[in-house]
Amino acid sequence: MPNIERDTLRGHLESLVLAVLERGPAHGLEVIRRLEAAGHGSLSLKEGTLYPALYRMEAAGLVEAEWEDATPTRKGAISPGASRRGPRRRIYRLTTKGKRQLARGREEFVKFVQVIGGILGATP
Amino acid sequence: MSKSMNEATHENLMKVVERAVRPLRAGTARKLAMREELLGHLTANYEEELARQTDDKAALAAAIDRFGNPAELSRELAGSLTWFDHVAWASERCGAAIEGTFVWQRGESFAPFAFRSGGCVTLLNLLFFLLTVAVVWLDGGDRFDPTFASFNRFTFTLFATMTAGGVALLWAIQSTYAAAYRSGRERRWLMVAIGLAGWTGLVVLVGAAFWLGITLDIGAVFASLPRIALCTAAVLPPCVLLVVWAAAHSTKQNELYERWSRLECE
Repeated sequence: MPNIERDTLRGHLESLVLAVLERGPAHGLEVIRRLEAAGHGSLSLKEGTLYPALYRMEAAGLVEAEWEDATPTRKGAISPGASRRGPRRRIYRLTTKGKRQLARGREEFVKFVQVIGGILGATP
Repeated sequence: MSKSMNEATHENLMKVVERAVRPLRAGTARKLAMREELLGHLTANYEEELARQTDDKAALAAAIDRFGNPAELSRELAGSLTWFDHVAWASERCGAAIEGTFVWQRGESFAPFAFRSGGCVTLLNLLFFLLTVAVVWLDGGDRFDPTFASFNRFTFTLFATMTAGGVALLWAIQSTYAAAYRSGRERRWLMVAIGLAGWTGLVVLVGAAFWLGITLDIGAVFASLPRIALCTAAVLPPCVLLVVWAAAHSTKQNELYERWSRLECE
């Protein structure tokens, strides 16, 4: 099966990320792993480019994030990397708004496939 | 840094992240968070690649290839920034410019520092003076008396109250910081609130003294007192809390930031 390149993915990346986060909270690397597993190796994505999408979705309220292994040392204060060596990871989870957006994304994609597939004569 | 990674490799990974993050127009805290998250991902990539191949250089190259081109990533990250990030970036630039102007730089001799900071203070005072004259003139209309004596009184009042107000403000910041962030102690919110209320009251008195010096009318000062108190209470406590919070966070982030900013990654 030919690889699906980044430019083809670009318009769908946010919906794909929302879909894999629907299975449970995950950090960036885990999101990539889930995408790769679900795409059976056909998705070709530079991993760094996931983060701008995550930041956009966070700003839009579609996902929320918190640092992993952040140990509170006093009220409101966070000690960086207190219980894990190396850089901390941020765990992303879907919000209610994100779930609604995912449902909309699925409807739009079904419509897209019906219309474009019909024109191309390639309806599944 | 994990045990399997040497310092040079770690620095190479940091440089890749820094090439993507350094050009962004966002605040220090946001950029540090991005750096840590991206470095975490890149480090995990490297460790996965190192498990597949024994050559350190090949693992590094493969990890960087998987991660993507830093310049392209930087452009995409710039597109994900919010207006708040841009405001934070601009305010930090202003802060750096102020620090560069008023703070004694390492290795600088006293005379240039004194002339530079003194000149800037004079310009600021002149600007403030002209603004206040404009406000008084507009407010007083034909009661405004632009004689030498009235200017002298105005200037004396301005400098005396500005000094008192400045000292009160700095003291308020220092005491609030001590109550909220003194190391090894719980935050004492009651002390913070009492302190802020006290300092606000003092600044209201300074404001009233300023107005008295300008108008020489105690009745007008009493009439204006609620307005002065309301404005001070609305502005001073949030500003002091903001400055204290920013100071506390910048101290914590300083060491981390120094390490990233020392990287030569062009």
